[in-house]
Amino acid sequence: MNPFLWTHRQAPGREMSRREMLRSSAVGFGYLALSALLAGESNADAKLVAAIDPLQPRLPQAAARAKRVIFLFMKGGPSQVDTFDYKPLLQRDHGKPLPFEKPRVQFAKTGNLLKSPWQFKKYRQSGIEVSELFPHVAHRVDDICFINSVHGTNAAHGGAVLKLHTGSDTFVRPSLGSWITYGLGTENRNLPGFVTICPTLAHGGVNNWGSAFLPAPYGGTPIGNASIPADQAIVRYVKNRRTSPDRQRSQLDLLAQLNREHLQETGPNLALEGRINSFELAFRMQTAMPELQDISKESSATLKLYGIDDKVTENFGRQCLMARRFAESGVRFVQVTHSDPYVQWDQHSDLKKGHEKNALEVDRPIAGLLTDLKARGLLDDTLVVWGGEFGRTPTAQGDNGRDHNPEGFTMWLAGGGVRGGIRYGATDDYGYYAAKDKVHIHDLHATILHILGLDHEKLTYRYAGRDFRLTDVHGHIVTEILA
Amino acid sequence: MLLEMNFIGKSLLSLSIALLLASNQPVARSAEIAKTQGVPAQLVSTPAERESQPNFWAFQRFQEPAAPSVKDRAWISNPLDNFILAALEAKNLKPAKRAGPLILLRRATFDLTGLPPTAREITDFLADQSPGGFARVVDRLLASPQYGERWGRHWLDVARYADSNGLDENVAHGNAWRYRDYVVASFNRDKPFDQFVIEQLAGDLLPAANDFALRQERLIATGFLSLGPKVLAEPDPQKMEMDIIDEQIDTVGRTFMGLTIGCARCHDHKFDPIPITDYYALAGIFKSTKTMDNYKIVAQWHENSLATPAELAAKAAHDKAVTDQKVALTNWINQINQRLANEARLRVGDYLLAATKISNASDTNQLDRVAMDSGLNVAFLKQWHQYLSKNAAETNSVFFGTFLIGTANQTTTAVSALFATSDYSTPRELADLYAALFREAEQAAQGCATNTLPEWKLEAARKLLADPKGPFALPSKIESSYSRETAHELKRKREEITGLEARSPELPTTMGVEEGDIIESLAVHVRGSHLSLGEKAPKQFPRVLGAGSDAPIGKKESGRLQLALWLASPDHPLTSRVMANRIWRWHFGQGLVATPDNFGKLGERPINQPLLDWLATQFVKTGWSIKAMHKLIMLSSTYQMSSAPNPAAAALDPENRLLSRMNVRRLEAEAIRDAILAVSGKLDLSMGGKALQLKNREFVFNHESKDATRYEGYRRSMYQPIIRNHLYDVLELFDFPDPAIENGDRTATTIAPQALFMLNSDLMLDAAERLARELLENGGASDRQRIEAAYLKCYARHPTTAETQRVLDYLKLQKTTPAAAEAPDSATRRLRIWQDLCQILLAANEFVYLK
Repeated sequence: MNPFLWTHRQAPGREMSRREMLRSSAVGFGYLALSALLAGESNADAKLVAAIDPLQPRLPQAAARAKRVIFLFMKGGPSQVDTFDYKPLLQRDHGKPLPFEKPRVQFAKTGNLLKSPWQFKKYRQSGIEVSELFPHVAHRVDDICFINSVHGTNAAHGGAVLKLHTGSDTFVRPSLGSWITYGLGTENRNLPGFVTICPTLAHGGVNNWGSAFLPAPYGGTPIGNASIPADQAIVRYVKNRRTSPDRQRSQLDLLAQLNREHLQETGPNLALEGRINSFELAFRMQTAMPELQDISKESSATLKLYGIDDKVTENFGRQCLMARRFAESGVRFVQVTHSDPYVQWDQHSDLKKGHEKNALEVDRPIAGLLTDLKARGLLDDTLVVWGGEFGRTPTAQGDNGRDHNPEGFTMWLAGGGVRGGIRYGATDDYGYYAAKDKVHIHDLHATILHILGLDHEKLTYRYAGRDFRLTDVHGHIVTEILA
Repeated sequence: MLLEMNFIGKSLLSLSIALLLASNQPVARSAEIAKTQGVPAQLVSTPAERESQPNFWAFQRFQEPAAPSVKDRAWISNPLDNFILAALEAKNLKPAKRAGPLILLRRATFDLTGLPPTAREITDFLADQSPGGFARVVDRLLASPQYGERWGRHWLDVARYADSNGLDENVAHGNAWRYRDYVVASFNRDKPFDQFVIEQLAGDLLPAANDFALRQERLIATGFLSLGPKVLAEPDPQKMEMDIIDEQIDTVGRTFMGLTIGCARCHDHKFDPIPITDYYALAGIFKSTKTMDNYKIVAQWHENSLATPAELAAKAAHDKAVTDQKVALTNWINQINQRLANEARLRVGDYLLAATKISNASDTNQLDRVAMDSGLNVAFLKQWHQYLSKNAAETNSVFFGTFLIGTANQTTTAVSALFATSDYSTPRELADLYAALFREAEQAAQGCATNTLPEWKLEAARKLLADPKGPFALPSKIESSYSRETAHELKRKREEITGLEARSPELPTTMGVEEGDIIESLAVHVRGSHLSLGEKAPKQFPRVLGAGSDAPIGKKESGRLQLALWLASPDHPLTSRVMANRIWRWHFGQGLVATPDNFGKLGERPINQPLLDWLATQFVKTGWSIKAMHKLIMLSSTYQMSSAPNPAAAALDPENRLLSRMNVRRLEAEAIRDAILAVSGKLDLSMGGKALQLKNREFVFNHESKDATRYEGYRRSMYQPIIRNHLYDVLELFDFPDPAIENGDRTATTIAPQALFMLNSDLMLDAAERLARELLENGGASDRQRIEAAYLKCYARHPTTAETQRVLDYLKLQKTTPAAAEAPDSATRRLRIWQDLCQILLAANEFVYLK
């Protein structure tokens, strides 16, 4: 019994009888969509949902702790032992060899242990240690659940980024955001269900927000890309500098007439009707999008909170504020990428300089986002996820760098029904391998879906004769971190 | 309607035999293969194998089915129709009426060329009412070069063609375009499909005698195997190699056989009868094939040289010309330098005197001035000065005394001894004595001494004359002392050489494969890991398809040629059916097997297997002619049906799998863009060539995530660069498939971003403006006539009276809007209104869908 058994391709000649069309119209449709997805019985009805109104909001399969996700992606791989995974022995044994074996595959040979150049301090009630790199986020630790035992399988950027976003580093698979939008639809019918702000085009690029075999509406809508400053990032073709809205409205009215007449001749046809609807959604979107991205009406206090008053934090601050505005407006999955054009979180050398620059750019905006979400009551049903594609080695690459390390690193969650102020799992004494309560990327995915009320084993899609899921044949829900 | 088929009798049978004879097979073996060509040895499986062979339709050999009888025989145009009609009649359904001529013309023109019919083509077709008019249209379209572009692009979808690698290291496939052009040319020439298959898998192994163009073409064809995405920075070289092989197996399996053989990499195929040993048996073939030059980070794929003897000769000639020019230049410089040196030698006295006037050698102005005043060479002057300064304290130096030249007219013993006189009273006189000394020494050295000098004096002078660091040596910066004319000439000559070098012809290469340095068989990689090896898997073809255990692969061969011949065999249970189904899919929007890339158990079953088998048989019979298949299909009544709705059929067969009417199909991304450009008069039909501005293997993105690829101009969309991970907007929006994987079944979504493109993109707005201008200038004398012209251009039909009236009403209404009032003048207002109208005509469903 598969509630998500929608055929992946729309047969070009598929027709609906008038009766079916009526059944799917205003009154019946929402109910049908929900019942199809909940009961898992009526494939035919589920097909209709996918074809005519794929983004129809849907109730989750089970009780949900959060309704939406904001994913703060730190491209390049921030170091766990310099941020949120304090290792006293690493500080003590600086310069000595790692007392156990390193993984077989490494990019470059790393040397002996390299202590963190930053001091750690305990913060707030929970007393969780955070390094000097994140002084603002440190004050939010009581809202944050740090998972110190995340591990992946791929030591290269490309594979690791794809794994984190899609669960697969070998095949093109739907992105996490696509699966969630597929499962839940979206709450704002004037906007896409999944947006990604300034994503990086490297290391998998579009595949990191693509819908792969899921229907196209579940793909992420990029707003700019990593090479475009946040204040210039827009959805492609959302602006028209030549035709006024009035003229465009007249155009659309004529278009609707032409299309309706064409439909009379061809008979009921899901694709043709879907296309008619798409023009109306586009027209609404081109008003809604710029409004949402326009932060000029935000108070100066808010702008300051996100660091938009400071050149260093302005760019990422804008991205975070936009993320809040999208989340508030009902967008289901919002990704924000920090990928500095020159120095990503990839410090094979000059760890101190690089990590300091990166952390400075994101610390205030992230803390601001958490504070703002909380103040607006949004943190209760918004899950914030922070992390990179892997961590870094506690051993030195060259004199002052760290290599990639997918063996054990830290990601954190906040809001949306996770327990704040805790650390879950642990790496070994030096922060190399995940050692206790290990959380694989698949486990993280399963847990995120669970928080949204989606069962990672049941959220499937039939493609090429097989039922696919985000977690493939893996994934354990980390119940210990749930509130 | 008569079936007008141009049967190409030539089968590749003879070619196959010739090839095998030409290969390294022992003659007896070839003879045996030749003898069994009717039932190739490879396809004869053992009884045990047959017993284990599952009774699944796709793996079984098939024969030409007889056309079923039908009630409505008048409807039949060719036997294809029997199969369709029989299935409809079985459900009490009737086929739709024949589509109107203009609908047919638009359908056929887009189908075969991806372009809309022109006004001229419409007029011609309407004028030709004689029988066979439509057949002549099909012939015309098949003969147009745009046919190969349209159908070649279909093939490029399954060949996962791209101009960049994608994946982790997104570097440019600088020579992939050669493969793209090869595909277009192959379709245009109606290359027999079996030959097309063989060339792409083993073109490098086909004997081409001395036909250089043929050899090049076949090398280019093997680009098919190399075009896949590769993890070029995979740290484990063995894993990288096995991943590349896996991609090749997967693509070959899905492209030609509709089989997901790649699924058997880690374990026996879960659904299809493909054991893991079959996978590694095939993997051995690709392991023995050279796809990569190395597996370093960033790894390099192999490219074959395409240089013709003429190009090689031209390159050699060019290299020689460069060398010759360089030698000539050196000689020229030497001559000048020699002259300068000679001149300097004749004026020793002047240099000595001038050197004394230099107070600061680093003051170039002073040097220049003194040199100019004395008419001396500045480089030599500087050298004289340096030499004298350096030796100022050397009491043994013959020049010790010269320091007196500038100071006082006193004599020293050294100088007196040197010249045996102290009879000079001015610096000039002493300088002249030195000049005479060197002159004499030089003459003595040349054997024509008129004066006899003591040996020690000669020796000292000669030493100095020959001293490479002495004042007579050629100064290292002599060129800076050249006269302005000489310096100018030198610069010109040098630039000429640099220019010549830059024009050095680059020898063409092409992505592709050749036989590997090591020919080997592989062992099974347990769970897909090269670190845990299992039983040996000798090279052979999937057993379920009838490959015996004795596939004739020689010990010194990769086996690619045998694999290609096996696939291209008329008796292969899948190759002909998979391609026939693809052709059907690309004509009707839906395959007889609805999963054209998967004929396995997870794929769909054929809706009408007798029809599929019949088509596949016709395909082979016509010598694997794809153009013959187009004619067979397009001249059928089935293809010519209208797409008008049929409520009875809609209820029974909502997905129109039985084809009771023609499907309404959306145009593909390329056809949408090309059509927009075509009707707005901008489409550039120039064919082929390089599309990418990047150099071969250059990174697509810089470190700022900026993609420098430019999508400019108005050439057909298939010539825009195909960048993996970052497709051209327009292509991506309209469901261009991921070019990293084989895909013969594009989707057609209707997402809002497509509508945004239609409403707001420059491409659309510019096209609308061009079309509006054209209509206003040349569309006729009245708005009615212009509307008529617009409908013909956009929809290849005349508008109805009601439609014309609706547009007239729209135009009238727009004149009164506030937006119209803002226009600076009536001409601008008119243009804007028409532009808005044209944009909507282009955005409408009728423009992007085929009836």
